[in-house]
Amino acid sequence: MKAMEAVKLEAQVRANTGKTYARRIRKEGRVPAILYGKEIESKPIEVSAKDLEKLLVTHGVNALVKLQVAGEGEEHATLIREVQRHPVRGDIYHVDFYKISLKDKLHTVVPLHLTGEPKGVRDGGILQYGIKEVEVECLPTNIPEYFEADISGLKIGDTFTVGDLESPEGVEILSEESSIIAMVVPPRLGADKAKAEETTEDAEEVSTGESPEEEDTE
Amino acid sequence: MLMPKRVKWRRQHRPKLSGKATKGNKVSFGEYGLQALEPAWITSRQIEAARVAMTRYIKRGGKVWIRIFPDRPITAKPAETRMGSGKGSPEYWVAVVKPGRIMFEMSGVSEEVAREAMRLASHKLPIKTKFVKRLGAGGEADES
Repeated sequence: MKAMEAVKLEAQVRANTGKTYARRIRKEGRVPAILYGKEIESKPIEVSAKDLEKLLVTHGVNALVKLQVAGEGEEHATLIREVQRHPVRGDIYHVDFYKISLKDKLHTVVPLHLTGEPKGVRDGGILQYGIKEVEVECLPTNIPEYFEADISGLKIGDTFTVGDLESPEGVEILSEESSIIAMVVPPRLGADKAKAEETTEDAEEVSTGESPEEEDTE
Repeated sequence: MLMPKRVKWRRQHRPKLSGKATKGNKVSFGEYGLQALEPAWITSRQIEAARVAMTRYIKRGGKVWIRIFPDRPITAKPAETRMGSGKGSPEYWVAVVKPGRIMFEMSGVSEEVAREAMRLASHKLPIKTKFVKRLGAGGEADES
């Protein structure tokens, strides 16, 4: 659980604003962005789409970004606040960079990486996942890249919760200790064999589609 | 099959298919998703067929989320009926799916299993689809 490294990213001040200019620079391989924070005025900037995509893939959305705006001497320590993407193609449309102070603690979320195959799964249990990220409070320089949760010791019926995580020095976990990260549940045996034969519904299903506002029938 | 329990109005206008999915276009619950690339009305039968295809393949160990719900009634007139005499009776229910919509999600299985299950499910749907993965940045990655 090493602390996140700062990543450098070059940016230019955006010469223009508006959708016409934004579309033009997107075609040229750049992404419109905005830099803002407590102590600075918001500044429209543009960054290379290729560099930004590479940064997000290798360091994730939690990376501490040292933004070097062309023509300015100092680097800005920033965090990525929002990434807007095209709904189908997935290319980046716009990014928010939030300037932070390296001396003040901040709240952020850190992803969880599960390692090992639980003992209970080898015995026939089913592994179910809970939360995928943990909320923490720490200095920007201490933000962990990820939390590693070793779930290899879980037997059937066991759970791995936030309380079982080891937090590195200087990092305070804010998520509730009882929040479940992973659990191994017993397999559903024979009980509804007839039903299973018809549709083989052993896999758990959840419908999240929105149902309409329901009131009286006509 | 999925359908609303009660509705305020039995007959509605025909749903529109214009635009892209502005919500429900990210993998939010599971690790893998099946994304629509074309607009369509997906019937409750098609959703059920896709669900059965997926769950049969992954057998047990996985978890499946259905992110669309068929809440729009489609009416039809009986065969060989003269025009007029009002709107037909509701025949089936559809979910309005626009490009970018994540229709199904899955977790608890390996990527190969999820990919194959989604491929089988996509054959039950009337549109082109794409297999997507959850990424740290909240976006989805590639392919199929």
